[in-house]
Amino acid sequence: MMSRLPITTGIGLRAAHHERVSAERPSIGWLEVHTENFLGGGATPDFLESLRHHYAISLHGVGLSLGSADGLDEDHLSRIAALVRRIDPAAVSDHVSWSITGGVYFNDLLPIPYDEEALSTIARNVMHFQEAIGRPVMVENPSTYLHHAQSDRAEPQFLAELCQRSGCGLLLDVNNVFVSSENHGDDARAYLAAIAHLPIGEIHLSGHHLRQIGNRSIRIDDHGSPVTDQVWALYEHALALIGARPTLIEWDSALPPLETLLAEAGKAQMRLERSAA
Amino acid sequence: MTLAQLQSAYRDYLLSGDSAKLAPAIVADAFDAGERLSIYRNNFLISLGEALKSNFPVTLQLLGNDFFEQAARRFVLAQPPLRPCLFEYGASFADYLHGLPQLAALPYVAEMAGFEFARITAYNAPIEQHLSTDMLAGLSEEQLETLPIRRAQHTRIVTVHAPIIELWQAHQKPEPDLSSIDMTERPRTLLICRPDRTLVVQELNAPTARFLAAAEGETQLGHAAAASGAEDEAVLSRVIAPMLELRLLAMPATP
Repeated sequence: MMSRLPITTGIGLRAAHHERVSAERPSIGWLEVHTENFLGGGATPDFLESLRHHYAISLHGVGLSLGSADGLDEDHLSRIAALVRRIDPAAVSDHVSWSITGGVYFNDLLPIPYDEEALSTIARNVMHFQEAIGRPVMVENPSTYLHHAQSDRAEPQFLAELCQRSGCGLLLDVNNVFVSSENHGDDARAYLAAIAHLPIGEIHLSGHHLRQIGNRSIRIDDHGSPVTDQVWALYEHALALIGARPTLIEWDSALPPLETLLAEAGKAQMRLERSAA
Repeated sequence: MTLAQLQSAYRDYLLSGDSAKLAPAIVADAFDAGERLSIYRNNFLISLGEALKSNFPVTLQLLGNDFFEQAARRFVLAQPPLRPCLFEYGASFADYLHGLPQLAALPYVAEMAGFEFARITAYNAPIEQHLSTDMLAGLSEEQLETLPIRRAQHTRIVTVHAPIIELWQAHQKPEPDLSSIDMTERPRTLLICRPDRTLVVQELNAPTARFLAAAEGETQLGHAAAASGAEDEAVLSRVIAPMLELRLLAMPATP
């Protein structure tokens, strides 16, 4: 099973909201945290362990670098495996991207080419990840700002082959689909149609902004604003195609008050319930 | 290009800004390869600058946003993180700031960075079995003397010359009032530890500092006690009791 998350909405939990969520326990279906923020000792993993008695928890990694030609950082992987054993999360995920090469961590979800070598590399790394934690994981489609000349297949096909070869699921980030499609002049709805048959265990929603470069503009995925109307429409279309799925409101930069996140989650919940009716 | 060659070219570009080697691998269209790649380089530099701001919030206040961002950018390029857990990033940031000529007259800034990093590492240190008063109660004098101990991993000792604790406390308020802080320099040995869920920070007296220095690696209680220089049992118990209360002493793993 890709995910034991309830088919309802959750929010990304960031440090600034730890205290209030712990004290007030807002009515929300589940919580997702960035795995890397809980890999220390002491009070931080204790805090997560205390929350798991009240909420389903999703561990969403940003640093395993599944697309690295170097393979996975074994020490990092063993720390994640220990946290998974301790928290027993409802879902575990990371990204279709890379961030580590030659021992340097770049803290960005860097793009991989969509070709056979990258596919076999990431499939091998995903399988190693799944073996280390003893359960299947989901991988998230990235926001991309470029194409590699050596890519020989489209992203949906690459994702389908990755799921098929490694047995992983897909974490469908609808905002990322919109951002990438707009940036490359592709059809976001055609993208969704091409991945609708994949094992999708979770959906992400977030904001992005438009950056001007000369007289042209490009969409930047920054998780720093409300979900746009176009992304809400694409989400509704995704729900109609694939059915209701656990849905997360992600917000990382310019973090708003907890109430704003919960209100965004309410908007997603309304659409989720409508799609299931 | 193989995947390893491509990622190596990204590494060179991200660290140098020179896209000559990587650009041919990127499709150019309405945007050229350099424009597309620069989005990733901006993300890399800005996100790690933000990580440093998060790890060094008072250092940021002392330096001001513009100076901090410039220093952070140069630090990120010179010493990028080696691991994905960013609460571990910045171990050498204090040394880096200490080496900046513009900060030569403000040595307390680098001391603050070192203090802030010690706070983070103490907070995130593993929980381990600590030595308690009850454990010592039933031991004979000889057993006490040879009891294996070492400093608990959540214990950090930092030597500074500026009134770092007072400066740090003042900067927890929206508008820090520094007027009552005596900036006179003198050596101060600071203890930063996390006995349970919250951090404790205090200035150490000399015997306790010597005791903890002797117990940095595995040693025997008797050796550390002798190293403390405590002249009699009464003084020694005044050294050891607070250490036990703060859970500063751990028991080395038995084979």
